[in-house]
Amino acid sequence: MRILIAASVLAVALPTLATAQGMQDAAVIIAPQMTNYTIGTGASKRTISQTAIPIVFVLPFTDRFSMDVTTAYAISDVKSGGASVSKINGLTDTQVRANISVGSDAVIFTVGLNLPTGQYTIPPEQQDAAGQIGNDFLNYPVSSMGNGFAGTGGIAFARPVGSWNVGAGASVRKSTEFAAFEVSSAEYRFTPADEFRLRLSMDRPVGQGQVDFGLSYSAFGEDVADTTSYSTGDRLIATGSWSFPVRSANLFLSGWNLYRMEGQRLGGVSPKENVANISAGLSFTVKQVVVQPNIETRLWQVDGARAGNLVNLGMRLRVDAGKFTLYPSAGYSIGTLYSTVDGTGTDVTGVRGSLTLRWN
Amino acid sequence: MRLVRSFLALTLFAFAATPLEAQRGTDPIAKLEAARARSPQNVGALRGLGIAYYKAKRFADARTVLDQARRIDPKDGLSALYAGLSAEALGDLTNAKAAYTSYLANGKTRKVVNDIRGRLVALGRAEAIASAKSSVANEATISRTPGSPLTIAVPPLTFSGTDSSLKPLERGMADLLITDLSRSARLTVVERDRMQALADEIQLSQSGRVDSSSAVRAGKLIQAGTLVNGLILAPNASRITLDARLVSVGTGAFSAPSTVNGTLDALFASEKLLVFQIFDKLGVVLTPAERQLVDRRPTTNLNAFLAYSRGLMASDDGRFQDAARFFESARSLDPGFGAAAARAQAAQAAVVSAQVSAATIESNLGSGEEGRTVTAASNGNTGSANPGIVATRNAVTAAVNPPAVNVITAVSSTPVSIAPQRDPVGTTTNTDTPNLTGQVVIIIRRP
Repeated sequence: MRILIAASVLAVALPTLATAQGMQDAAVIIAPQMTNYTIGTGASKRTISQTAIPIVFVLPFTDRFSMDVTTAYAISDVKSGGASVSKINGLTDTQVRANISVGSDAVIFTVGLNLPTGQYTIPPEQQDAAGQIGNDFLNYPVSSMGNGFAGTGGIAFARPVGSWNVGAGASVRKSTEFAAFEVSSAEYRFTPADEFRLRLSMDRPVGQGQVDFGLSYSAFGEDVADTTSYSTGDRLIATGSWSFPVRSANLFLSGWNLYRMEGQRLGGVSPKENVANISAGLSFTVKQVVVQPNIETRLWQVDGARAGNLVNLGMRLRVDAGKFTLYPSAGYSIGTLYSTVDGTGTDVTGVRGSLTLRWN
Repeated sequence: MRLVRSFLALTLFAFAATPLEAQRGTDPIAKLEAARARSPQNVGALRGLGIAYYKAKRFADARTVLDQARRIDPKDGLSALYAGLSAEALGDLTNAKAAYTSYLANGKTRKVVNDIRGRLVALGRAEAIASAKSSVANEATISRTPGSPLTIAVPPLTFSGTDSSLKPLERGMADLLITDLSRSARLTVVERDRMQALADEIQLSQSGRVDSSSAVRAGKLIQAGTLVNGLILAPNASRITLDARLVSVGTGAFSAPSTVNGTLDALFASEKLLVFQIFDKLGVVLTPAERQLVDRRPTTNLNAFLAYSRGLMASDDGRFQDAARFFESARSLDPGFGAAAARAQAAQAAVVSAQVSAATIESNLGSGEEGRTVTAASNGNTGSANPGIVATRNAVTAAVNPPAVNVITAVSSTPVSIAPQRDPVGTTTNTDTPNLTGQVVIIIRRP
């Protein structure tokens, strides 16, 4: 395994040293962001917060071959009654992606490696924090501290069909075993399921704007937790957006829907789940600063029963300063989480902020 | 762990070189020239460089590379648009018109297509004026080359009468004669706009009258062989006489007059009689099909034709708003008056065009596909032969091989949030549920 990792790292890193065609477009992105959700009130109040600092290196070696490398440092904390009950911090896994286009820009081969630089063998006191950030509904920036070494290979292509641009792609992700938890001074081994992903998308100009639709289907094999196999359900993600100018501003309407099918998880059935999200943002320019107030609403259903709703109000900016571009953003969330057992609701509020910096 | 450290060291070494590379290529033109050097036949690189040259006001350089892009891909609308803008900036109205016409066929931004439609009308007029100025400036050379006797020019007729409301018929009748004479394949008839521009340039009309020697001069300049010198006599409210003489531009000789007497109500019938006499004098025998075409009447409504004639007068004076109103009035008086509808549209386009600058056109490219390509070129990026396809393909790539962390680096064109990726451990162990107040995971190992 170590040899495989070493070979892979060299394979993706060597072109960086060997050629510089297109490197004038290289960029470094640092995106510190903070997300904090408070669930419930009084003695049962829980706060789940995450401060993450993703770093992305964008390396377009040529106009046909590009790479990006992403890693993050994240601190996730679960507080109950004002006191920290579980906390995990450290570097996450490092993802290396490489894309090679062929032909007349219509086909692209993509490969990805997930390098296990994150947190593994998580002790019991950190497990709550490590698990909470993976929630699909609250959608934390960093959803996992480590998923083990994995490789992805895929192909994508696009072609015009009438006035539409139609794209399709497929990929396979193969993961290897890793030490997920520490249980009774022993390692709890986990092997994520292989994933087969299919994507269809189409877009076209509409008036002065653009509309696009997409559908991703992820079929998973079996997750192996210790010695038992589970299957937590295939996923279907539908996306759509429509942007168009309104006077001197641009209105961007978008939505996504994540549907996870029924499966098996530790302790029983993993019921089907659906998260629907729609958002609207109006962007305009004020003294060369792009300003976008936005609103987003999200609904969560588990096995057909409501499990939560959330409204996010936010503001994003883009400030250009020479080689640097800053993207500050802030938002406030309010909503309710519902018990899937008796339907009782628990208030949830959240704040989030980020300051993304891109350096070209 | 050692491997991880090795990877990070390699990565950091690679990134340390990045700022130097970035510094080397921050000038968009330098970046695009380098891209063209790598791929001299790449339409995206040529187009991007042409746009960058245009924005740097290097119009001649812009036109050269954009024309090269258009030769490789004649359907590249954006190259045609910027070739047109560059040619216009260089005063080359003929090539600007050709490039804009190509954009009309291949452009993708509807608002800009509408802008260009108007601009073409204005360019047509500007081209006619420029051509007239050039002809006058080069009169000595041009006048030595006599035109063919079958190349006909029809200046505005001269009106003589008491009812000044009929004076616009000078233009309207000339327009009718030009249309009818053009039906014959044997004749080459000078376009009205060209003739008018030249007439304006040498002040053909003086105090409302046509000076015959000036008309001959204009005929020489426009390289016509024969002028139709016409007269409208309206001594009272009901009677009208149309009179025409052919003037040989080479010799200055006048033919015997062709005269048709009639009433105002029978004006269109009189015009047809006159035009057939002119054909006879020119020795042109019409085919049955041509004769049928000449017999057609664009309108039979005198008021509509008068409004149309007023529109021509306003248009010749550059009063396009008024012209559009008159032509629209003519069209509403006779909905079947096709020429009035076409002229109304053209005049309206000219009105719009007067408010459309090159900067407006660029602004109207907006944030659509073509707008994004221009923005990319401004930043020194080549874009692609088909930027829309690349965007689609990249979106598919990001979906099948998604980033581990979604970092949004665009404001106006990205969703507020993106659908999350699966956390396999959290999902399998059910440790990702946020509203559980307590959770115990019991793992019993098999013996």
